[in-house]
Amino acid sequence: MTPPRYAACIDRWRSNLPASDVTETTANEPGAGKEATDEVSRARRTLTAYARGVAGGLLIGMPVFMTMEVWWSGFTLPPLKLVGLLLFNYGVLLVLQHYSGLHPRKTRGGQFRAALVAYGLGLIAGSLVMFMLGVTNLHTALRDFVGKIVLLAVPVSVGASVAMSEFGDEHETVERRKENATYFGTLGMAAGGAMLFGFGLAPTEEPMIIGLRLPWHHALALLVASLFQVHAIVYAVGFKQHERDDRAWWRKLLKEGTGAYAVALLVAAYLLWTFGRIDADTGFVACVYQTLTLGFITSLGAAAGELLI
Amino acid sequence: MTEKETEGDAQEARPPDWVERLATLISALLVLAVVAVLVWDAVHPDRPASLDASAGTPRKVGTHWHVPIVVRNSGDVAVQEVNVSVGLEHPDTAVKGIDVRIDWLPGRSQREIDAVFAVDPSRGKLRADVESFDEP
Repeated sequence: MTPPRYAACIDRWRSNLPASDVTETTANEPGAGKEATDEVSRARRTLTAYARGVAGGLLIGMPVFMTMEVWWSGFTLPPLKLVGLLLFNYGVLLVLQHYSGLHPRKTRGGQFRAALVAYGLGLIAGSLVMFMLGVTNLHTALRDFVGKIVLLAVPVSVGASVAMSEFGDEHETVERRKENATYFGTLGMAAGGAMLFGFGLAPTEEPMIIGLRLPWHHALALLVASLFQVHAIVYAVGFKQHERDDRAWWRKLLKEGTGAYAVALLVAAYLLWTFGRIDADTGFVACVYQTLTLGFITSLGAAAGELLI
Repeated sequence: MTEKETEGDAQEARPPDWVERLATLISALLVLAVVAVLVWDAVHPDRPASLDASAGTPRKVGTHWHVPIVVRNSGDVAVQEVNVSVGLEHPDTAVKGIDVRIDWLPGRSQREIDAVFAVDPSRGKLRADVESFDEP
């Protein structure tokens, strides 16, 4: 039976159609009325999901929109690095669609489409907000504009891709997948969380300055503190009662905690390289210290990935 | 399998609705357009940064005159810390020089800054020059 609010919506929709169309649909096709109702309710569900995605994206992306280093990176970063970031981000979005998502349809094709739409929403939201803030205008060079929105679309698309979890829309398939996540699935969620936390900070100068000023014993302390926080969060979040009952829970904890930290460091190093903070000309120790500094933040996201997603 | 799960599976098996199809199409076109611009930028050779500065028409604001100075980068490479000097040779006063700095100037872009004078610059000789810049 059609819910009353959808029925009212269908009536309004039908009243706008030419009379011939209504008669033909109802007279010639049995059950066509129900199909039309279904189609409208599905379209409405999709629109709601996208609106929620935009809200979730802006929630995550807004601080990045107001970071000058991101605007500048739009025209200073080499184009192939931007394409690489776009592809890497698409991979992260696919993982996020699997364990949370923009759209409730959880088929493989649906998830590919949702990841694409999440990035599209990011491009549109990034363009509009940049224009609204006066960062871009009609005189902005095309390459500069494209560079900026490619970067700004990343946090928005990540935020949009965890919108279902952010706004508490539970989905049976997603819950089942999270409960039965494999080790690599958990690491995928860790990469998503690390990206969520690290992207806002990686373009700024602070991780570079802090990393370059770190004495070795502070760097070591940072490493230990990061490992501790990762394991503490993984223990608190990932290891629910049934896991703790298991005798070898501490082995699993070490495996997942260390894996999450390794992913966090890799994501940190990748983001620093993308934003030109580390490259082949940067000294090895400087690279490591900068990665450890940003890794302190990305490890928080990686460890809490399962909770956030 | 519960009735709810069966209904959910049936929903999943159905083709995407028109909103999902339209959004996917628009997103795919946007992503393709963005990638096309980036790939075009990657394959075509960059022209080195080429900067010039020019002074516009002075306008009186309160007791002072503001002169718009347009600094243009006609190359493809972005530059930073662009130092511009603005000089005025005026019959009523000594030569006045103003130094201004622009943080960033992307390729094929321009920035406008205002030089402020206490005398009418249109009665003197005004010049604007790019002194130095840094390529990141």
